[in-house]
Amino acid sequence: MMVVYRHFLRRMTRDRGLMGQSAGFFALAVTVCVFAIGPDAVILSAVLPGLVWALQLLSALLGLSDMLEGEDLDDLLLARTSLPAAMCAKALAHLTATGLPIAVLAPLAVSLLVPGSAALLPCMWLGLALSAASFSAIGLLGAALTLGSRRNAALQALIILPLCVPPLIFGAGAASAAMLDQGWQAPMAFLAAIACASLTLCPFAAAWIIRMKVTSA
Amino acid sequence: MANTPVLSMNALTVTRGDTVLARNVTRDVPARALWLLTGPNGSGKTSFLRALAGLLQPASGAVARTDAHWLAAMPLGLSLETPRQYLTYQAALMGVPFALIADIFSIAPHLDTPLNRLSTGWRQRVKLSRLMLADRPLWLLDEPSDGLDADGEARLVQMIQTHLAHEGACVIATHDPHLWPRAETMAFGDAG
Repeated sequence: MMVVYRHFLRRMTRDRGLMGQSAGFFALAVTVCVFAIGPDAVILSAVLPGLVWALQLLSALLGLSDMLEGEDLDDLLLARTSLPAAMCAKALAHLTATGLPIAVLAPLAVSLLVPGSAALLPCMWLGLALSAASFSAIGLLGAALTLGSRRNAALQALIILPLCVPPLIFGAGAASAAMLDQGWQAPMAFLAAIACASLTLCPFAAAWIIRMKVTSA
Repeated sequence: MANTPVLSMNALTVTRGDTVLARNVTRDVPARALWLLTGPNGSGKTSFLRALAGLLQPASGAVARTDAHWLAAMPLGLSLETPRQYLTYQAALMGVPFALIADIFSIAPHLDTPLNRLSTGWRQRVKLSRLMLADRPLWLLDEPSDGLDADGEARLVQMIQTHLAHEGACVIATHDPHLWPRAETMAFGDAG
């Protein structure tokens, strides 16, 4: 399964440059927003967690529309390896390519912008990693549902955005609570539960949908 | 074992939308048999082959087959991946480590050249080399001779001959039936 994961990751990062694309989009969007908001640390500390999470979600949307492409699927359907396991590898590859670089770097940027927020780093790292995992798994489900439909990017966003709202709310909520020195454990626990559920259930659902769609085409 | 067919179809009907591509096909493909599917573009060769592979739900009837290799007609993309990485991935899907049973297409010198720097013919040779990753009795090949030069075609014919000699069987959808003049043929496009 490691080989399958590495193959997917290589296709996403080397062939399509997804890592640079999503990290670049994220960095650009945060910079532009911060310039627009202004340097006031009080306002920034109130706004930044929500902003970071919203932009992370939008950059996770990149690369979802062609996450599952043509012939790849025939091979996976006929493979000895299980299709849900391969789908899980696909979600993890997308997470590695788009979610993790942002999850690692964004908290560092926040701690530079808001003085005295270095203590929040572990909370933000954990929160961003967990919500990125949820976004990738839910995104996989959206990619499976819109497989074969033309101009599927908009449809896909429409399907997955409502499902991504809970991890968005709990993630940004945990970070905001930590900024205000309040307890962030409860929203973080909810976020962890969502990430576990989506990472384990979405691959099965995606595999089921793909098998049905391909064989009845 | 020698008498059980490698592939058998029972009243198999394959459709695409409302069009019937093949009606009520009942036949066995035994070991050592080569079966060609011919016909114009869009006549249903690929759909029929996909039904044999289990990638398309037939309208009615059933397919029973042993372990098979499936090779779609779609050429390998212009990826930065190398043939070694591609074949290692394919081997992992087959549940075996990467090792070619025989390097029929002489791809060894090109194993570490990215696919986007190989010509169409060489990418086709890399794709065909998937058949040499694991020993499976049935080969279902869609347009295997696409993009091959005369030498490549000769190697393909030789590879299939060797496979048949080892109790294998092969179903090929092709526009080059002249490569296998003695093979049995099913023609598509003449009203199913």
